[in-house]
This record gives sequence, C-alpha cells and structure tokens, in this order.
Amino acid sequence: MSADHDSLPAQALALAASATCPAWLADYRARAQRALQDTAFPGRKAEAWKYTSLHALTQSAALAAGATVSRASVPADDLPPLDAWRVVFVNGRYDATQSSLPAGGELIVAPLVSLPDAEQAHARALLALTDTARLPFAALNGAAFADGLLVRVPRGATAGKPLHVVFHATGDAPATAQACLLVSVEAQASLTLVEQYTGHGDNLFTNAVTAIDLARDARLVHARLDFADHRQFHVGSLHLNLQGGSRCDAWQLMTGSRLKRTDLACTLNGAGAELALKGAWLVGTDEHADTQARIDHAQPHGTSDQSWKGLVGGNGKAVFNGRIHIHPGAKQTSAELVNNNLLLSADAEVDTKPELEIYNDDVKCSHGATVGQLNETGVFYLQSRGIARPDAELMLALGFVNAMVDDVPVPGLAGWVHGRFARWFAQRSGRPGGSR
Amino acid sequence: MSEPSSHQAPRPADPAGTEEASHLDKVIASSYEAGFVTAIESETLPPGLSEDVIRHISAKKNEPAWLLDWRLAAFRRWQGMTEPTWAHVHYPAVDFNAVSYYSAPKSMKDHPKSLDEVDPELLRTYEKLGIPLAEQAALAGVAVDAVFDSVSVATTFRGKLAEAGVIFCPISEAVREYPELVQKYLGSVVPQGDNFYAALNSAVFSDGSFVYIPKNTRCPMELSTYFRINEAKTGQFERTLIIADEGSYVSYLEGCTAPMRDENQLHAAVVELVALPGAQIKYSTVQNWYPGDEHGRGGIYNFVTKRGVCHDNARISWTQVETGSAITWKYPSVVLKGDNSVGEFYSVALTRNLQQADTGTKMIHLGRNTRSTIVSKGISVGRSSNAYRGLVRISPRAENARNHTQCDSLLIGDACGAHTFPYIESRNPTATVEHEATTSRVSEDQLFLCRARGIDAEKAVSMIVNGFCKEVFKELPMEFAVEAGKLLEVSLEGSVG
Repeated sequence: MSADHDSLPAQALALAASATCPAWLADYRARAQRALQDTAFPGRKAEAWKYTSLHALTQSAALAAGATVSRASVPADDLPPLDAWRVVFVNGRYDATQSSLPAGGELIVAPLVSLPDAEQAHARALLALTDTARLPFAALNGAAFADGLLVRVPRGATAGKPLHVVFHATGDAPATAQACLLVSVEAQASLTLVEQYTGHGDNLFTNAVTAIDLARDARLVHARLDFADHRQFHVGSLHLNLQGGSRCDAWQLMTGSRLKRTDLACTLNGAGAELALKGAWLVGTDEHADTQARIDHAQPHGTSDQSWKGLVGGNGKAVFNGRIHIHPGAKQTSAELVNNNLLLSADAEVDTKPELEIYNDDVKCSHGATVGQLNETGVFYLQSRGIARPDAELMLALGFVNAMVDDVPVPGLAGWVHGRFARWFAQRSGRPGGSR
Repeated sequence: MSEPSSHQAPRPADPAGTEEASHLDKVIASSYEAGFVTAIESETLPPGLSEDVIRHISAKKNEPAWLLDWRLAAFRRWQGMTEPTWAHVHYPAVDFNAVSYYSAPKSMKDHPKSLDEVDPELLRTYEKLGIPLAEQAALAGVAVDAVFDSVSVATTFRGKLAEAGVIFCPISEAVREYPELVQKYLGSVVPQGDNFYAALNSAVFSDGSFVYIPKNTRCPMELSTYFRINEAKTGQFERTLIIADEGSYVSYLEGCTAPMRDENQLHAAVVELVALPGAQIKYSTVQNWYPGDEHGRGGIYNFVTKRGVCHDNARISWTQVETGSAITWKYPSVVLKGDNSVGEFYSVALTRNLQQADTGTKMIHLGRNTRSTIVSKGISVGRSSNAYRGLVRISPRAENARNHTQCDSLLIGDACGAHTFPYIESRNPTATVEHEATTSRVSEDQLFLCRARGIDAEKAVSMIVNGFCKEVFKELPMEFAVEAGKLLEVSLEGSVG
C-alpha cells in the first residue's frame, strides 16, 4: 500500500513540470514544487487520512493523465438559476464564452493567466495563505495549476450581484483538472460568492484550492457546492483568513463521489471575527466523502458556529473531523460545533471526530456529534396519516438535510439544492423511496 | 478573584491576582505529602532488558515453563515495536535500558505468615500513607493485597474470601496454584503484542493481583490493592487479572501513591477483566502518584493498558480519579462482545503544574443491544495539559447498540490546555451514538454567588469542582469517594484564578 502512495509524487511532479505559468507566479510555483518533493503522499497510518484511502486515486489513470484541453459547455441542468455574474472554468481553464464578467469597479474578476500587473500582488498574497506544507494536494495544485481566478472587492465596495464561479470537469479520457480560486474582500467590503464544482464522466480528478482573505470588517457569504458525477475524484481545500471584525457565513454542500476529500482551514486572525458554517453531505452507494474542518481561533473575541449534517446510504462512507483550536491569546472565544448523521442502510458507515484543543481558560466551547437512524416514531406518525413508508422516509431524510440550506441568502439557491438532494435520494441512497 | 470582571483586566495590574499568585506559589511549593523513601534493603536487578533478565525474573518467581515461553514471546514482539507517539503528551524519550526490571523487598524471603511478621519498616510506610493495614482491614471490612514494589507481602481476609470460594491472591501465587485459570485467561483480553507497553509488561511483569469469583457469587467484600513504587529507577510492571464467572459480582478498588523521586519512573501496568455471562465487575481507581515538581522534574510516567471483555448480559464499569503522574497514557476500555452487555466509564482527571494526561476510553460494540456510557470530567490547572481521547466503535452486527458520551472540561488558569479527541465509528444503522462535550471555566457568576454568601474563593472553587465531578464520584464506593473528594480539594488548593 505504501508503495502506491510513494509513487504519487513522481507522477505529480511529472505533471507539474509540464505546466506553464506566468512569470509573476514562478516563486509560488517553485515553493509548491519543493513542498511536493518533500511530501510522501499520506497512507492510512497518517492520522488525517485514517479513514480515507488514496488507493483508488493513485491507481487511476486520471492522476497520471494530466490536464485535458477539451472544451464543453456546462449543462444548464447543472447550474442553479441565479441572478449572478458567472465565471466558468472547463477542465481547469477559463472559458470566456460561458462567462459574464462584471464591468464596474466594485468587483474585480480576472483569470490568473491574463492578470493585470496591478493585481498580481493581491494574488500572491492570497496564494501565501495556502498551507502547501501541511496539505500535499494543495502543494500539487500549486505546482501544477494552469489557470485560476482572482476575485477582489475593493475597500468599502459592495458587489451588486452574487458571483458564481463554476469549475466544470468533463471528457471521455482520464484527466486531472487543477482549480484555483483566490478571493480578497477588502476592508468594509462585501461579497456573495457561490463556488461550484460540476462535471460528468468517469476517471476525472479535480484538485481544487480556494484561498479567501477577509480584511477588517469585511463580509462574505460563501456557498461551496459540489454535486459532480459520483464517479469522479475530488480533493479540495479552502483556506479562509478572517481579520478583525470580519464575518463569513459559509455553506458546504456536497454529494459523495468515488473519492471526495475537503480540507477547510479557517483562521480567525483578528479580534471579533465571526464564522458561521453549515454543511451537509449526502453519501450513497460506492461513494465516499471526507470533510476535515479546522478552525483556529488565534485572536480574542472570536465566534465560530458550525453545524454539519450527513445522510449516508448504500455502502457509502462519510468521514468528518471537526477540529477547533483555541490559541493562548484568544480570550473570550465562543466556539460551537454540532455534527449529526443518519445512517440509512446496513452497509453505510460514519466516522466522525469532533476535536477541541484549548489553551486558554476564558472560552466557551462545546461540540456534539450523533450517529443514528430515521426516527421510527416520526415515520409511524406520517404513516398513521396515510403517507406510505418510503415517502415518509424521504420526507424525514430530506427535511433533515434541507434545513442546512434553507437560510442561504442567495435567491434561487436553496430550492435548487433541495432538488439536488431529492435526486440523490432517488438515485444514490439505496432506499426504497429512491426507486420511485 | 476579587471582582467578577477582573478576568478582562490585564493580570499584572490586578492586585488580587498578585496575591493569588503568591498564595498559589506557596501551595505549589508545598511538598508532596506522600513523598518519602522507605529504607528497606531490596534485591534489585541491574538496569537493562534482555532475555536473560526475563529468565531471571521467571526463575526468581519459580514460574512454570509455559509462562517463561509466554514472556519471551512477548519480549520478541516488543523488540519489533516502536513507542506510540500519537498521544498529546511530550516527554523526553524513555531509555528502556536504564530501567531495572525486578525489585523485591529482601525480607520477603522469610515469607511472613501474618502481619506481625511483616517488616515493621514496611508497615510504617503504610501508616504514613494513612492505611494501617490491620486496622483498615478490620474497620472497613476491606481485604488489602498490598503491593510493595513488585512482590505482594501481606494479604488479609483470605479466609473469609476462601469461604465464598473467591480467589484473591498475588498473580505469582495464582500461577502456581491455579495454573489452568491463569493460562486460560492471561493475555486473553490484552494480547502480548497489543501495544508497545502491554508487550513490555507481558515480558517483564513482576506481580499484581489475581481475582476469581465463582459462578453466581457476590464477592462478600470490596477487594482493594494499594500499589506503591518504592525503589529508585525501578519500573513497576503490575499485571492484574480479574475473572468474574457467570452471574457473579465483584467490586475492586485500586489506589496509589508513590514516594518523591527526582528521576522519572516508568510504570506500565496491564489490567485484564473478564466478565463471563451475567457477571458484573466494578473497577475503581484513585491514582495519586508523584506528579513531578512545579518545573515538571520527576514524576511517574504512567503508561497503562486496561481492558475488559463483557460476555452476554455482563457489565463492566471503570471509575477513575486521576490526580497524579507526570505523564498519563491510559484508556480503560470495554469490549462488548456479548449481547445485552453494558460498559461504563466514569473519569475525573485533574492535572496541574506541568502534568500531562491523555486519557479516555474505548467502547467496542460487537454484540446486539449493547450499551455504553462515558462520563469524563477533565480539570486543567496551571500549565498542565489534559486530553480526553475516546473511541466508540459500533460494528456491523451490533444491532440496537447505544452509546452516550459526555465529556466536560474545566480550565483553571490561562496557561493550561484542555483537549478532546473523540473518535466515533458507526457501521450499524440501528445504533445510536451521542457525544457531547463542553469546555468552561469556573464562572465569575458562580464565584460571586458563593462569595456573596460568605464562602471564600478557595472553598467556592472546591465546591464548584466537586459539583462538576459529582456524576463520577457517585459511582465510587463510599469510602473511596470521600478520599477522592479530599484528594481533589488538596490538589486544587491555591489554584483559584
């Protein structure tokens, strides 16, 4: 097993060597390549990878194949009906024909390959937030990405419409797509961002890195959606830096796939920063989803509030690790985390670990985790009112996860996500309600 | 803390804080009450570990060949293992060749037949600790199998226990007198190669207690062992094996203190519990080994493997109050193998100065309708670090399994650490697993309320902490609960922040 993992960097380096990049990115690329060379890709003995095997990915043709340049339009069905600016990347490359960029100065959106000189320093500062030393896949991304997107909201500005960034992976041949999204919301500015991963086809690997900086008193609404084809591989990391007084309301919504791994690294880096995070994963037959959320409270008066829900059916496996780290100086911190899971079938598995690491007595922290099943009393109640059992189960299961998205402040998004959840239940959950 | 809001003020400017600090220093500087060295001649092996040492230990104890082979097999496993590093504790590497693996009081050769024949120096040791053996045995009705370093020297109430058919004796004696029981169950719960320290223990274990409760028997008294670590640089490798046969009940108490030493002392015990169908085992521990001084010098390294197996309808309950040791690495676990079996874990762990504890439990649900309860209370004081690490695993065939875990941390002082690492693995959709954890400090409101009623801050903290731990204390046998409460009070003195 370990031999497989050791072989990964060689393939990855070969990929990285073939990637081109603009001169201003050369330093970052060199650093990521060095980090990659020093990294042995993790096996199951590594604590952070205890429940997730990379075996399928390292054995797949997707990783060795590198990027593909094929073009395709994103099916309308894959996109929520949003009144938003839209930027589309297909297989890691910017597609101008499907994108509509804002013209005004309140929102600057630019692909990295053609980044104006004035914006390069911003992009470099955001790339510096990525933890390439700790996360081998972030290093792989840094070493190999071909394009990406910079989003910047200047000081005091408010983006008039939400920004919808789509990373689409498609094609018949095995391929790897690197996605890179850099977002800077400057002081007192505000932005609504929908980041979405879509795709169809077997044997495709998306490796995504998102880095977001919220300056003093900035506001961000961030929804990250991933409902791509369950046959694909997806590894992603989100690096979120919250400065003093800033606030981020974030949603992580996903269905499982052959391998899905999401690392969130959020740092409350200024006094009074606030983070509210909600997430849901729906993991069904032959699917795997591993979410690692790490919140660092580095400064005083911070608040973080997380709520995660999982539905696991078929022979799916959901993994969650929610780590809250309170640093010595982070007085008057309030941190909460809740993770509830429902197992829908006999072969499903949930491995969850809410962690607290606290170095300071002036804090209020709590976490809770549950793993259970659909409430029989609830099912019986609905049956007694003439609702057939499969429908009753569907209602209860969807009610459980739909609650996670009801309050997304992006018109049109919650309803669309509900529809996606219902489709997952019908096709992937392995429940009788599904065949209907 | 004179003002309810003073925690927001910078500490140096707070006169009350300074006063507290000096008081804190005073209490911290007070010496470890149980820290003394008894001058008894011991027969101690030179430091180092090899097959010869193991053969020597085995020969000293007149062990049968099968046990020597068992030890040697464990030793060979151990040689191929590496020390675990995953625990949230930091300490200089242990030099396993600087430890002496056998130490027996010399006077043991005379085989005392009664307390009168026991070395008076030894008896005085117990008196200093507040456990005059004869008195306690008579007054409390507790049979004490006192372990002084590695060889049991006095055992009381054997007759009364024998009447009930209960076997309670040093494990070295059990090896000779009940070889079939020992051979059947030794290593059946914690196999030789289970982990690094368990393998080491299996190779060199010196002595410990053996308990067998016959079918449908309620053990007529609570069984108790006091462990002491006495010889400098001597590792203590206790091995305890408790077998509760069908339908029986036993309550076992384990309490510990150790003399003050400058060098770290390694302690790697193994405790195995076997609860056969319908049996109940209640295992209570009060642990107050020397935790090291205020600079983290000295203190016991406590790397313990404790595990029980529950057969059908059986119940195992671990209760522990941990205030000692420099490093604690301890996860009393229950394998719920039989249907309808029950596992419980109640723990209070208090760390102060530079103590580090990584402790918790594992509940492995294999049988149907198995239930487990975990209540863990961690209290961190000063610059200490206190981690709860637990695993709840529901196997695919554990229909209707239930687990509830509650794990609360209390922080006293702004330089301490409290951590929670609960692993939950569920593979059965009919199982229900609940975990909740909170972290807080002694609140200003609580303190203010007490002070307004004329209770001084120190008493108030002690009261609040006692209330915080109440759920665990009520699981302890009464006299043990009193001892535990007092221990906590003493440990908390001067820690008001």
